[in-house]
Amino acid sequence: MKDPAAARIVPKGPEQSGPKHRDVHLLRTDRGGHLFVVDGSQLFDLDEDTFWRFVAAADDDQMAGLLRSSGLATERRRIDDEAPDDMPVRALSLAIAQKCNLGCTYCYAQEGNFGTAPKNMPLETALASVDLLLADTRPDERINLAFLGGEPLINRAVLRQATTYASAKAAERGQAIGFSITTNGTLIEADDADFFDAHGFAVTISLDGPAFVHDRLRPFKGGRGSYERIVERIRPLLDRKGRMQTTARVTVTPENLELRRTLDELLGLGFHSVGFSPMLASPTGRGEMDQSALQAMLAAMIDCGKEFERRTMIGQPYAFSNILTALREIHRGSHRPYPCGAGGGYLGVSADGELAACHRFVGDDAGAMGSVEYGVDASLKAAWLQDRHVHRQVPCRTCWARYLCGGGCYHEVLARGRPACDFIRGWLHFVLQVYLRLTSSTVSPPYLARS
Amino acid sequence: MSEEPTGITPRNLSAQLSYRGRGNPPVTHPMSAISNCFPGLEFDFRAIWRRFLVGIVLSENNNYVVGFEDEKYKDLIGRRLLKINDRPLSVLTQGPVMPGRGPIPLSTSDTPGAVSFMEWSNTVALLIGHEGAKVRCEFTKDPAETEVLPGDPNVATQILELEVRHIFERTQIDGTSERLALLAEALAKPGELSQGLCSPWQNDYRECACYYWAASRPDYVNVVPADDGSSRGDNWLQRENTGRYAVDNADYQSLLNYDDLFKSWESVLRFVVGGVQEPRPK
Repeated sequence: MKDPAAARIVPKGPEQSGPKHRDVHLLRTDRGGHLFVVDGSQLFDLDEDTFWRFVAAADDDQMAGLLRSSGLATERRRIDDEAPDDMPVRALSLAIAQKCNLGCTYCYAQEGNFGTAPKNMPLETALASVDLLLADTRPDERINLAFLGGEPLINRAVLRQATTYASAKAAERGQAIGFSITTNGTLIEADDADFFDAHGFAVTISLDGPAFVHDRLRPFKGGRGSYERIVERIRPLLDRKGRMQTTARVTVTPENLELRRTLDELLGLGFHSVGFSPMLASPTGRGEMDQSALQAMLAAMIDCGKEFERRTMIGQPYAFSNILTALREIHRGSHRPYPCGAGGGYLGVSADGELAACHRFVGDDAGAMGSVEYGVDASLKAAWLQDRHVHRQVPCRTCWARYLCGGGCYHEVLARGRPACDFIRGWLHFVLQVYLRLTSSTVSPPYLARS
Repeated sequence: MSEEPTGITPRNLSAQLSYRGRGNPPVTHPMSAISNCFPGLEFDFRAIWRRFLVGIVLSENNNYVVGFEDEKYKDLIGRRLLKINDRPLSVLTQGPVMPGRGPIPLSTSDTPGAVSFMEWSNTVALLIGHEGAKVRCEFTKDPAETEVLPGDPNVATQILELEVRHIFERTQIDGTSERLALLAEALAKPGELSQGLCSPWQNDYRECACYYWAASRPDYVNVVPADDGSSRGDNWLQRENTGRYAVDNADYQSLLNYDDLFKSWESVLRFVVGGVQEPRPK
């Protein structure tokens, strides 16, 4: 039964979401005790007696025994130690322009050129990349072509020709294809909206907050602010309610921690959704989040999350994409041994036609994966997936959040290790509680339908 | 299974899928129950084929049109859907019947042309990427009671564009159409998902000699380890639990027969709790 000693060790808030057990995470809401089983990302309500029995488990062995006797352990774990050996590349991102007109302080691409001479991707390379993507997939597999940079719209002509070419080739064989672009928004022309809409683009605009903050972090190369220009240029995109979607991505540094204000301002502009991502590693170290900034960011994320919960309860949309994504993953019980598709189902292509583990590893030997000309290097890809399996990562292998987090961005981990674990666990702990509250209420949103 | 009482309620979808209620056998998991994908006790998954194409109703295991949703397709009743997007739905069935001889067409009185509808699941798998889109459907021009080989030059055909229905319910979330974890309401009318299931009060439990249809129910009950390393227990259809497994050898004296099930299935079939079928053998 409940005893005061046990009460002290039960996680109540996100600050108590630290790693305790390898196989479970215990949490409480005002409705009682809950159990998150790491294997399969399964979430349960526990009655009080059962909850306190789980709390009393002293170590991982006792916890494993308790899971078995409760019928919650399967003979075979859902994720074993093996890396997948048959993961086709279904998504490519093209560094269509390795140059940029902005001079963002923290850019992983070192102001767009990845530390080399600025260049555009030639048309032949872009078309050959599309051929590679089609050749390695079956017509019944959905594929995705992303355009990144640098600033991809610097090379608009090749971007459009590659899109049209991919669209026609995919249609010939009845294959579904999606397009996406991440752009700084400064170079958008009026007819880009028509083009993006015709091809159903998912457009992501990098914006770091209200003008006075954004202009400090993402100025033009000469130092002039870019906010006003971006907002003016993206208006035709935001006004589209057709096939395309325009979302905002905010890179969070110690200088723009006012997330709630940013979220409300950007949603007010008409973005389809707005998401935040902490700056964990920059080539110069500028803008990197330290522990106190990450704590402040977690508090600000929770503030946004509470507003999301409040609005959802009264049936109002509030497109805070971090919580929408996390809720959907928790609802399904997503569990994966990798943080993303990089080096697996997703590769980046440099302007020179070299394949990389993702858009961030362009021009970096650490993420080399072959070339468009000679194809994907299967042995490099296999070794990448083998080495990066979350069971091989310390301390991830014993963390309760390992199959939701996957171990963190490879590029950032290489540069700086894993400074954001408490932030990630704290956020997931909070979203688990929101999930439990929303799905207990009579106004649970349809995307969380129970059965 | 737990020996202690537990108050555990699965909340998210993965927990609901994996959780086995106290006393339920392993085959009650969707992933282990053969009955989940064939006519068993939960629901008949084949039923999703019936209304897979908007406007018409197909037999759940065939390319035979049995009904229509849209008046303009009423003439299709009794006809056969031969191809979708030029891919045949039926094939010539061939195989060896004599050792040492080559394969020959395997005709039966029902299918004199030795034509079989390909497994519906293959067809569903081929079409799943086309949900919401129109596909080219080639039907026989006339009703055809027996199977027809697609591409037969002697059979007149008609081509219609039909829409592939979404299998899962969709909803608008912030302006985006999202898939829910619910079968689309339009995919099945009330009762259609279960009408093909086996029924204890019909022939099914006796007809299926390996108890495949009754897969959600343990067919070997009251099992205890025997001294020689084997086990002892009862056949679930035994009239009396004796601890000695009665083999189903058409000796209806020791096992329930058709008549027993037709007349009083609800009293002769017994509950199994924790592997024990009441009343316990003495």
